[in-house]
Amino acid sequence: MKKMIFLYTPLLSCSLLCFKLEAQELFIRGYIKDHLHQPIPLASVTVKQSYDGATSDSTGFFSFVTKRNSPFWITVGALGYHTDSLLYDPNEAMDTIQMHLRERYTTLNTVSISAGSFVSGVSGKGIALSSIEVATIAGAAADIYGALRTLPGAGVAFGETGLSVRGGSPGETKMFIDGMLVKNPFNAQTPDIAARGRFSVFQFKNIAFSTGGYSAQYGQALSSALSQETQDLPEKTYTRITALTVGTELEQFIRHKNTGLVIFGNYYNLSASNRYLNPQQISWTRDPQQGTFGFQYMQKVSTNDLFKIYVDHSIAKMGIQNYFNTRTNSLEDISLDNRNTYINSTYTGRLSHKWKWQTGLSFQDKKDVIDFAIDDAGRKDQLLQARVLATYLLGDVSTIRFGSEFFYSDQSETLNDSSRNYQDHLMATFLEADVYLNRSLVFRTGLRVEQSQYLKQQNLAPRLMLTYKTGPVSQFAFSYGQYFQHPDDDYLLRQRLNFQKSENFTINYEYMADGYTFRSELYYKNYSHLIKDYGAYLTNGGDGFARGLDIFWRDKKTIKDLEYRISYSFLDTQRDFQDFPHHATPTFASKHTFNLLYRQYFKKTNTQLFSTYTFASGRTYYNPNSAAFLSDRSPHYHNFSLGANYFTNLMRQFTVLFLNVDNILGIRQIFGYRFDQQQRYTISPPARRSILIGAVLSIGDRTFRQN
Amino acid sequence: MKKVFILSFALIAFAIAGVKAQTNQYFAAMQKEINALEQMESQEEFLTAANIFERIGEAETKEWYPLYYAAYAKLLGGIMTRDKQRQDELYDQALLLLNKADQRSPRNSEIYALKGYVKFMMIAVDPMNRYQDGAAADKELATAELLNPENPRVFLIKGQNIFYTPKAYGGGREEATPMLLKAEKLFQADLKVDSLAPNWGKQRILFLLNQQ
Repeated sequence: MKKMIFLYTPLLSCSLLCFKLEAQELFIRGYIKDHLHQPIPLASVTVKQSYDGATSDSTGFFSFVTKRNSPFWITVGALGYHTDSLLYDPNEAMDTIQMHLRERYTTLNTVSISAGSFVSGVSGKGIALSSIEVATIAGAAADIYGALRTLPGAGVAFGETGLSVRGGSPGETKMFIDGMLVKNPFNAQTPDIAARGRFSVFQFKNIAFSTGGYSAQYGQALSSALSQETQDLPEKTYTRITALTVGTELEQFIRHKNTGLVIFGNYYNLSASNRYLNPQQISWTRDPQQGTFGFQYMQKVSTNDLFKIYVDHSIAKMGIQNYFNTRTNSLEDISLDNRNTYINSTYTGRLSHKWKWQTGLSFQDKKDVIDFAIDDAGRKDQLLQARVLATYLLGDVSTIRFGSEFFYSDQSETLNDSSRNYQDHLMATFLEADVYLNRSLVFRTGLRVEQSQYLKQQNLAPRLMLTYKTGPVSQFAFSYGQYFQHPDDDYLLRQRLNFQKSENFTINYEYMADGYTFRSELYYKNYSHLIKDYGAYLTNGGDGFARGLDIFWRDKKTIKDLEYRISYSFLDTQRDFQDFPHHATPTFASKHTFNLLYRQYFKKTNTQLFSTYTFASGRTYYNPNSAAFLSDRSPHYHNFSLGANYFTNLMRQFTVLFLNVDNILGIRQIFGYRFDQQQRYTISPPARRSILIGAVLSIGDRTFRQN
Repeated sequence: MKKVFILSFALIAFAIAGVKAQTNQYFAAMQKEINALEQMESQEEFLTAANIFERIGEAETKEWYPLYYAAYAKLLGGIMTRDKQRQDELYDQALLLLNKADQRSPRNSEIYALKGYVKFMMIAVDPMNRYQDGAAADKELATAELLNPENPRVFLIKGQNIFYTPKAYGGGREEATPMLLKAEKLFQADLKVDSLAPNWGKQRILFLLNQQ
């Protein structure tokens, strides 16, 4: 008999367990709320390891029936919240359950650190400027810099190359690609003609542009940082050909498992365009020509590790007749030859869920040969950069970032028989933390230390930003930062100097609801240690200030497929630098700048139309005949540009035809004047009206299929 | 001794019946919810159904059907809502569920096909900026087709995508028709593997083919 009891007991317990006989029927109900006692609808309440459960309604209420005898776990989960659990004991009758869920920080529901920055790309938050948006800004002709100049805080280019931000000279804005500094982001530069950026907007997946301070990861820019991330591996293998009235571009994208390769080449020659399409206001002895050849190789070394290397080489030539040589104060013919090599390689990896790291190595070499009528000048600019960065995730979204970079630069300049050069080792270390105190308040604090062997100086730059989310779609931010920059190479070749410095204060208010964006920012910049040029010697005795207000409004929603943008900037700035006799408003600053942009997509005809109107109040120019220095102002600047894209297919391949007309009304634009002994010369854009026509053909690429 | 045998036999039968009752519970719960899906229209209904499927999926750690249908319900919930942020959240969750389903049932044509559908809908949230994600969506469907060339849903999803793509980009009704007709033929021939296997899409095909 004993044996049988041993046999029966397990069988009996098994069958009982399998049937859960005589379990109590429990009616469970309650409310799911957040920590502010607001109901959470559509939360899922589940009895662990069972089918029993319910979904909460709009008041957070739920109820369901389950059959249990002993204590069991109930788990509650909802979108955007941490899952929570409760141990329910059937023997202690609980009336109604009240569960409070903790919010989970995600990029969607949390305050964003974007005070003063415009971030593009699908993954970027803030004012999104995608590649398409940049490419379709009338007048900019798909030039990144042309497009960024339509943002508040960035000034109109009156013939300067670069981005003048909030009263800063164009040289105060630096470009970074994948974290690495790009010393020469422009094609061959001649004064009075704004050069195009060297890179195509479509090479980047993210473009972040700050007008009011930037991360401690970057340095050497007094005003602003333009940070771009290159595209990742191409999704498939295909070819893209672009034909323009100014030249042609060819790109071959290759994808093979975990490696990608993009081979590209372009050649531009403006002679036909200058002769037949856009009559020039300046005379070219050699119409501008430029060619670039390069490639980018990418490899996904593992799921989390990515290696990229970008290499390009370009050659540019141009010649201008009667160019105003500021050295001799006379008109001469000038001829320019430029060669540029750029190599940028980065390796990003993820050690664990919390640790990410990145290393980068870049090399740049630029050579200019400039022939004046009598003089011959040459310039060599080399830069080698090595960088290491580590990021640690604290909690859900807070992060700590630290790293180090090293720059080696070699500059030399020749003028006829004399030459001079300098080399510099610059070492920088930075530490920065983004700490989210709760979902509404985040502060970023950072410190950057730089040491230059040539300048024999070091600097310490603290940076702080505080952002507070005032409502579901609005936030306030305050930021303060110190920024240091080497004096221009021209100055450093003559004399060893100290870092230039700027301190930026900004207060920012942003409202970003679905389709509507409003941003306003008040700022004050204090400049010190700017370079003063006394002819025989230089000092760091210059200083200045810039203050103003930027307002931005964008509406993508009111009318379907139509987007418009209005931006206004007010700038009051004065500085004493270069050869200024006293403080004055510099020539690159406009007091009032206004931009109105329009873009509309017409589905039925597959056309996209866009236009830009820009106004900038007259800027100062140097008039030797004037009693007061920089007291004259050029006429106000108006520009109305128009563009159109037409989407179609040629031989079953996706094609875009586009047209871009800058200054369609042919308004006479005067940037300023130059004076020699006898007369006054007007500085104007190269063409009164600029027309660009092109076609882009994608072969083997069906990426435009969409629902 | 005979009594012992009868008793043990009864107990074992009892035990087996117990286990069977549990799997019957699974089939019954799944079937009920799958049938209910056909009638649902609002976002709330779809999300409640998704929760039910997820619950079953958590309890039955070997089954992929619950996770598949939870993802499908979330997809439909996303399609029914106007709020773009919500759509993104739901589609992201649907993909996570499908990745989990993939771990439970690798190389499954239905899972890849649904993944492709979700990815196409993610592009639809912001087509002008996300058009480049199309290639990834295409790849999912290509894999789905490779794993089961007779899966009607592969051709429905591909055809539907072409249908809504503007003619200039190589889409439109005429381009989509051959794909949709193939899907229709496969629907008619489709022999369900078991009672819970996905068989949605028949009505959708007819709707698209009858569009003028």
